[in-house]
Amino acid sequence: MREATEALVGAIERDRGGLVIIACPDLRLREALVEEIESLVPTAAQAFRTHDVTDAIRAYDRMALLIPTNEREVVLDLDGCRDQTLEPARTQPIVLFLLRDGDGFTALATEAPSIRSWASGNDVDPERLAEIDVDHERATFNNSTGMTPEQWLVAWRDESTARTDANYALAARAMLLELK
Amino acid sequence: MKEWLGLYRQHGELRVDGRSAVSEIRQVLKHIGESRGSIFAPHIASRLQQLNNKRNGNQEFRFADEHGEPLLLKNHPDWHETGHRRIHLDEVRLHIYVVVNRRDNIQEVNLMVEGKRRDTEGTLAIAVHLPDDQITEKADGDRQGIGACGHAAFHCHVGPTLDALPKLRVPLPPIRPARALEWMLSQVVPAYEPALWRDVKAALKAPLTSA
Repeated sequence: MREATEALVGAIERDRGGLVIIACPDLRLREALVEEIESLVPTAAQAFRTHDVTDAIRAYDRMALLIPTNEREVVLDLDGCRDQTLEPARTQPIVLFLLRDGDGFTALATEAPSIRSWASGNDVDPERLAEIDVDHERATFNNSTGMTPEQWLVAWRDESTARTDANYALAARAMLLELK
Repeated sequence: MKEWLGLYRQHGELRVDGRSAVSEIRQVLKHIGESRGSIFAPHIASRLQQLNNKRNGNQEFRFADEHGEPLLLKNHPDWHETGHRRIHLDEVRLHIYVVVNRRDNIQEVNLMVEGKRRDTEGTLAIAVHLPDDQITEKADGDRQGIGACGHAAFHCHVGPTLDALPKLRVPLPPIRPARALEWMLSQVVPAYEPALWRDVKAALKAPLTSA
């Protein structure tokens, strides 16, 4: 399985002055992903949030976290301003947050395909990458413990399971896999 | 009972904004990773890995290497109280597990640092727990212990192991999990003290609004 957080960091570091596109499932998770990137990137990158393409381009030596209020408009603005990112050469990327099913991705596909090539593979959907194969993971849990996650959690919640580091790891995994 | 009930409620309020709580933990790891002579590599915050279960909406965050194993702290300095005797700890590992549910509430937080003492050849474990606390079919739900005083929802353990007797659970104030991680690391590496007395003193002197 590809690690979501490592993929996110990899996309940002791959092309220092380039464009990174982060796909977000919804507005709540968009905020979570912005916070996640702020917590991951070096302090020296001086990451800042903006809704505005001009602000993002002007700060060529800072990491711009571009969070559109109008996704289509921002994609088209970026398409029209790409030349301005060449001189002075950017030393930090622009990180563009687009809703997975929003107008931004539609505009990328239909009106601004060159933006997609600018991002050149630096587009990542971390929430999708983090999705597990639930049946496979439950079978793996069962094979290693001889119990379903629900059975294991009964003993854990009754405090009849030893509080070891290995069991804390299993508890977290069982809660991830628990049927609700 | 009133104050214990109040503390229980305050601990419950810590569970909101689970994803933000995870980012706050990453910020602590990043800050330490960027400090001189750090026990972590600079990009260590990215090792807090995420797994999503699309069916139940739960998310697991686990601090681990590429094989899923707890990370060994590098360049770990001697544990010591300033001006007093030092304790060598070997094979120091940091464990972080956070489970966040569909409503973005923290279901469980487990933080632990453990190592081997060179002086006694024993072990030392410091842990912070905010256990699972959901109302289920049981009368007391899945709350642990018999009450909110002896087993406060957000508590810490310090001892040779987590199961060693006496198994003491010390209630923690209602601080965010990231602050509890800072506390835990400051116990092992005093240089990571996030609230130096000189800064506290300066803040106390400053006008209330900027403190």
